[in-house]
Amino acid sequence: MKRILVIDDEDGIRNLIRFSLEALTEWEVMTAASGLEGLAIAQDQPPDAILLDVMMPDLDGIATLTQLKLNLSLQHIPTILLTAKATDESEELLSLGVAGIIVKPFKAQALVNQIKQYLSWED
Amino acid sequence: MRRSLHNLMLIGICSLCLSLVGIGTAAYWNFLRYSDRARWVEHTYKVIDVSENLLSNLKDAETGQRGYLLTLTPEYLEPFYQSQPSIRRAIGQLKQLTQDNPAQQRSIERLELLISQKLQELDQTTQLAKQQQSQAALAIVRQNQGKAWMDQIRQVIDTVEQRERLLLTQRITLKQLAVTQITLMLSFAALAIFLLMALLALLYKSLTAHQRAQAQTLEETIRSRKTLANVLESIGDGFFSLDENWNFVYLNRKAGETFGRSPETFIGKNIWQELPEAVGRPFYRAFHRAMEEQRSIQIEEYYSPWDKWLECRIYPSARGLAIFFQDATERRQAAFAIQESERKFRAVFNYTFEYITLLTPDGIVLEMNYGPLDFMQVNYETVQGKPFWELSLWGNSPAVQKRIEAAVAEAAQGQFIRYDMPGLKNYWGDPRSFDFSLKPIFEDDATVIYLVAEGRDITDTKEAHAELTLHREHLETLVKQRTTELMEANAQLQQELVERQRAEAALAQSEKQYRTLTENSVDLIIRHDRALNFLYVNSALEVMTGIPVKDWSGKNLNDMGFPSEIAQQIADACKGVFETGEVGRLEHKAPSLDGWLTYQSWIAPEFDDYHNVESVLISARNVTALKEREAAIQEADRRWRYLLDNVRLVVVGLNQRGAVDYVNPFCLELTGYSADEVMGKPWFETFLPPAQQQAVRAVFQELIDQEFHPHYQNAIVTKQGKERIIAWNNTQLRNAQGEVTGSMSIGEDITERFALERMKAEFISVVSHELRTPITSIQGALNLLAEGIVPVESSRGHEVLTIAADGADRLVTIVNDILDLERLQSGKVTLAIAPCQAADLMVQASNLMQILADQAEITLTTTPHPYALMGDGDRLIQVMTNLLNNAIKFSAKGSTVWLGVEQDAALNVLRFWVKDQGRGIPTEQLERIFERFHQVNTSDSRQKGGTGLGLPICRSIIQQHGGTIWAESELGQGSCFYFTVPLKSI
Repeated sequence: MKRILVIDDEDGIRNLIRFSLEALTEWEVMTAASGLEGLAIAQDQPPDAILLDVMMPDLDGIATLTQLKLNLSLQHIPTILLTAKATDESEELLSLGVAGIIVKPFKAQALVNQIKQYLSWED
Repeated sequence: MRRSLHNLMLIGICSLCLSLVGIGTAAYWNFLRYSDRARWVEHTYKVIDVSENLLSNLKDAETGQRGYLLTLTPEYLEPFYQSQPSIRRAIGQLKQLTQDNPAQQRSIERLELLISQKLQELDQTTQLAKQQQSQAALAIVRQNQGKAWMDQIRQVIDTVEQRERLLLTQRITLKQLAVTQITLMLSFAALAIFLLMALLALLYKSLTAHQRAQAQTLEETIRSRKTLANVLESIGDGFFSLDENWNFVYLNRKAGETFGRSPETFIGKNIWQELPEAVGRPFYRAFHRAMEEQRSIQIEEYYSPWDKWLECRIYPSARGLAIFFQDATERRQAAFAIQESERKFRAVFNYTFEYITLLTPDGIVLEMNYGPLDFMQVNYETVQGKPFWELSLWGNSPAVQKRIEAAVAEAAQGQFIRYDMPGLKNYWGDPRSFDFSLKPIFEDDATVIYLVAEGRDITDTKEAHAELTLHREHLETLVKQRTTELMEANAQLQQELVERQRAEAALAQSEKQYRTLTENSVDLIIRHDRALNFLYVNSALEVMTGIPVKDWSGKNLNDMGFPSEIAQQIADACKGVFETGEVGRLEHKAPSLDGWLTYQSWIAPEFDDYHNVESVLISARNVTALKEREAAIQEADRRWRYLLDNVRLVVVGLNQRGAVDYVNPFCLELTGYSADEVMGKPWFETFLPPAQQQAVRAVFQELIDQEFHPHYQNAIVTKQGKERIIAWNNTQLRNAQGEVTGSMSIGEDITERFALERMKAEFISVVSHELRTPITSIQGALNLLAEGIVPVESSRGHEVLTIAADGADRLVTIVNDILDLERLQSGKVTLAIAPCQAADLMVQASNLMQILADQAEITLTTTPHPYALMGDGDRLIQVMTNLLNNAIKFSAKGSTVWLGVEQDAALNVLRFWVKDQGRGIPTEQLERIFERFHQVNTSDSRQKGGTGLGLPICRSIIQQHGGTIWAESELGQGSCFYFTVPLKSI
């Protein structure tokens, strides 16, 4: 069973993603409300993939990603960025070595499909 | 040599001193021995003395006894008693004195025994006599025992004395020996001292001489150094020397002049620090090579910082470099000028109508102008180095060749040879006649160094002459024939006259032909005599001035109406040629029918047979058009330069290596550098941020090599260290030969535009985020419910609905804020201005915020004052609640937030403030927080639940009231927001 970690500071959005994934897939969903919390969870129970929000307080998405990539035991975990920013920035973000980018807003099924596509996960 | 002598002397002195010490020690030891021996001698004398005394005392005692025995007179007893202690004392003395001698000791012991027996006998007899028993006493005496003792005593004392005398003899001898030894040693010492004195004197003398010599040498060194310095100061060359660390040791005056500072200021300084612009130039490399390879180097290079050619001779030594240098600019220029003049002169030589060949005295061809080459249709290389007479010029006739060879030999002897040379055929087979001459050129009026062969094509003249002669001869014949027929018909005579006229006409015709070439030249050709009168002018002059050619002859420039200034200019140049015999050059203006023209004139001397300048030949070319073109180019250049100097764009010219060749004033203004700091500097290393240098340099290289990247954008760093972003238009620069020499770039400073665009992008990004976040919640939630992924009725469904509702609330707030702000800023909202009380407004605002403050456990302290003011009460409350809301959100639990007001009479305003003890705001953010969607920390919006529009709205409201709003803050101490509302008359 795949295990996925969702890091987003917006309570509502974080919960919606969890609900969507739990309802539509068999994956185990872990959530974190900040970059620091996310890093701690990932270190503790390494997930198969990470969904990471870009705009967060304190340690934002890019800083969290940098920490992940600097950590030898975590750097291989594929990471998908979530952003509510304008789409024309996505190219810049892609160059950071992420598996993909998902732009908010999104629908549940489309979110799941996109994650599967980025990670090449079969049902 | 001197040193070894000194050493020898020093060794001598040392050894003498050592032997003196030795002798002294020995002498002292001998002296000790002598005194010891002397003591022993004395000692011996004393023993003898004492033993003699002893004997005499004993005799006295015996005599006393005898006398008393015989007389019984007590007087005799006196010496008897007196001598007894002396005897005992003497024996004690003897014992003591002979302690060192066991034989004597034994004798003394025996003596003592004998003496004590003798004394006993004496005492006994004396006692008997006292007791009136004289007979008994005498009987004892008669026994002769006493005498026998006495004899023995004498014998023993004798032995003792003899022994002592023997010792005395020995001891005296030893004492004498010691004396002799001491004397000998003292003599040695005296000799050594004498020698020492002598050596010291010698040494002193020698040292003084050495010192004097040294002083002299020093003086000479100083003098020669002074002389050297004088020489170095007075020479025309610059001179300086450097030590091994490249520091200046010495500079002469000339070097100081060249470097532009007094020489003293350079001493001890590093050359590359003092002349940093020289680093990396050929001189720099030459200096280093000279130092490293320790060999002298001569180098002549152009040094652009001074715009000079420098000739430099570098002499290395173990301790540095000595450098002579000379300004070679003038010599270079002179050499260049000579080269130029040689070229021009060569051109005149080559294109002159005359056939000219320069030969060695042996007849070998050195130079040949185009005339004969053209005649033979060969190029110069085929004739160079060949004997003159073997040229195809002479046809293949051995007779002619022999004649020429002979002529050359004759000319080489100093003869001037001139004759006609008819019937030479040119390449096309046309026979031509020449006035041929061979002129020897002398050096020092004696040696022939060159021969000049000249040929003038006189074919046409010759023909005319021949024709004329023929006609004359014919005429004469006719005259002879017809003398007798004088009376023949007049018509006949007329006929002859006509014929003669025709012959003369023919001659004139041929002369005209000969001149045609000259006449038809577009250049002005003029011949002046020494008085500068015109001897000849060609028709070009007539065309130019409109004055017929015939009117010029015998006149001078002034006569012909030339402006006197120009006439003088030309006359001076001609005089120069007459004096020097060298070709002169002149550029001057001259009036013509078409107005003023510019002429470039060559003034060539024409020599008579005595090498005097007989006349000058001026060939003047109209260069007016050329000059105009030059002026036009200069004008265009000036115009371009003016444009580049004044345009508000950055213009930079780089050479192929990327060093700055040109920058315009705007570039300097923008970067803050002066032209001196920029010119010749490597552009990329000096003006680009280090991170970009390599990439941009690569772009430059591609521009140079392949003409890529006509447009490019990069940052440059100003002198103040600020980055400016420039959008460039680049183009290659090529020289006249089409080679790439560098680049020229025109750039626009787009820093502000760039920053503005970035701000816009950031703003859009933030707004996008603020709006999309609630929409994501709403859409995501509704999608889950609508698709049935989460059942509406379940508890999770309820949760999802709450998320959607929260999102919707947040969206409404943001949209309302945006609309509110837009309406305020566009003036669509009119404030409901009415009289109100500051205190009322403050109380209402603080009441509204009290619940929030309580939740956050923050004390809200309001100090209302009943000031009356005119304003929109609701809006002012909105401002206060907004500020209080922020203050509460950014304050820690247990801290205080104040709301206050005061009247500023000077400005006629009411000033409200909201003060907190929060984390504070960085100074650079104090103004930006009033911008839309701006938050000190981008994450604050979600953490603190703001829309990022509160403060912009506050500012709008206050501005609508005619007041101002601002913030003051100290990081970590808290912030204070102020706003003013003008006090208006109510």
